Amino acid sequence: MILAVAGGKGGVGKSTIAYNLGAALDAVVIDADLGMADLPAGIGPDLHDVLAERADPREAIRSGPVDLLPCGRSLAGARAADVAALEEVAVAVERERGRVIVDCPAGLRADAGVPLAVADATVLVVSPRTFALADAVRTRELARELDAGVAGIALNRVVDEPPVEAIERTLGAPATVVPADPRIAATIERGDPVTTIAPESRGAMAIEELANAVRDCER
Amino acid sequence: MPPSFGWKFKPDDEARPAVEPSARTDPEGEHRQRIDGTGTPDPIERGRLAGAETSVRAQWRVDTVRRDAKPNAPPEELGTDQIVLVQVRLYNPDPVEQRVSVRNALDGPVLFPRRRGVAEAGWERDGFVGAVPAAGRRALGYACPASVRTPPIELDRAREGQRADESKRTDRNQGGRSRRRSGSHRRNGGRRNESRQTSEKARGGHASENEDDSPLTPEAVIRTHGDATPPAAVVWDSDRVAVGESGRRPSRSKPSGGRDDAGSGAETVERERGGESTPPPAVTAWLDDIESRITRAERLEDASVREATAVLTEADGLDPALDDAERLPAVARELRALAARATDLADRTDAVTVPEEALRRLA
Repeated sequence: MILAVAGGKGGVGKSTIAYNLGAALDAVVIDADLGMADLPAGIGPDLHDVLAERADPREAIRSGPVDLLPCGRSLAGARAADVAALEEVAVAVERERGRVIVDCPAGLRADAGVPLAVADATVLVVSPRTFALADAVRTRELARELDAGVAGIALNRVVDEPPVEAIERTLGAPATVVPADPRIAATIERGDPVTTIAPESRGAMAIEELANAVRDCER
Repeated sequence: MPPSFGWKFKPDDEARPAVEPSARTDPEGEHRQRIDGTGTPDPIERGRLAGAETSVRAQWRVDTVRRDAKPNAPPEELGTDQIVLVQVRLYNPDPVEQRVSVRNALDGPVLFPRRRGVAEAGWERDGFVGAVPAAGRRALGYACPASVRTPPIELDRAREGQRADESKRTDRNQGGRSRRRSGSHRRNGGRRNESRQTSEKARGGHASENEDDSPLTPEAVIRTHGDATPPAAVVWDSDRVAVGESGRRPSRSKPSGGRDDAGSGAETVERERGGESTPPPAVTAWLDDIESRITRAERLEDASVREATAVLTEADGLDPALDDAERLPAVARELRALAARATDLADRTDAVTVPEEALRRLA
């Protein structure tokens, strides 16, 4: 199955959630933010290369605590990348590895739309701040329009008690509170997902809850 | 909002005039198809319906009204003296929202809910297309001047992007999308429950859904939502080559076609990163060619038989070497003339200053 992790605004923590869900679901995480890569890369072919048909998708998958298909970071690479090819890439990786998580860019343009169109389901990452909710609603509408049912909402970086019910009602899907936890924030940089380094923490349990919601959709 | 006439299906519902819009159901009088509540209701029929290709199921209910008095609605829409009210309640047992299409199976036009004259979202001429929330329900209703048939509706999974008045059974060209996906479906077919279509969309190659112009193809998404690829540079800098022109492919091509574009894109980027002003490729190529001839001539000068044989074999024969013998003196003259001109231009470049301040003031 192909899962999209999206969220209207930038900076809500999409990539972190995508990375940790990748560990919990044993999925390959594709960093589809073609203009601003989020997940760590290294030497070797990346998604820019794959989308410009310079490399096969399988060559670009990096193994690690979470298997990644990272994006390139050059302007020329972004220019040469054909976003329409993302569908084929995601399907090819799914054929190889079973589960794919596509980390979507912020916004509502085609670079966010194509992964949503490809995906079977979406996890919306939402910041509990009011100003971010309007963007979450717009992304949710985009997901609905592109037939990517929202499997769950990650209410991310929660400090105070958020209005969970109101958010669930507005966005029409179950919400999981992910508390603000420096261990979660550090996962991408350090490489180890929170389910590995702190499995009993509330953050890890929230990730598991989201993973279960996604597994329910697959059945 | 569809009028709610009670879902308990009690037999004594039949005694109530089903049509009368009360203040409760139509508070602002916005339901244009208001019919004077003077009709006598006919027996109600109800039933259940399972959806095709979807786990959503429906409970439907049909009320008929014979009109004794003239209705408010425009007469051309209500040709018969009987109106059927159809109420549908959709149930979605899955934990993911599902889009369905509810199509009218009665023999008349759909008089769908309107708000200030505008159709409510999801309603079209033939019925309704919309989403039923995860593990939730949705209620709809419409009127139809026709005779009753049961079931009054058809319930199907909505094709992605389908509008209610599109026919589902269009025989279009096999879309590449479904075909690409069908491989993965076959591979995973054993793991998935065939009746659970929610997580599969167009995969699995449902023959009736191979739409090239479905709004869910990447190309359609790019058209409607805008390509976010950074634009190519369009200004030529005097020192550099425009980047991106050659790197951008307008459409997806076969692997061999793409490689050239990508290669030259990379090359132009390298040149840009070089920083210093470099001569255009044509000049460099010309100088390289001359240099290789000179080198060959140098190797032949005072060469042993073996060396000469080797060089001439590389050059594919005697003719190139004899050619060089003729042309190298002329080449030397050309190179000196070029050098003189280049030096001249360099001196002039050093000497000239562009009066930037004055120009800015003029502009």
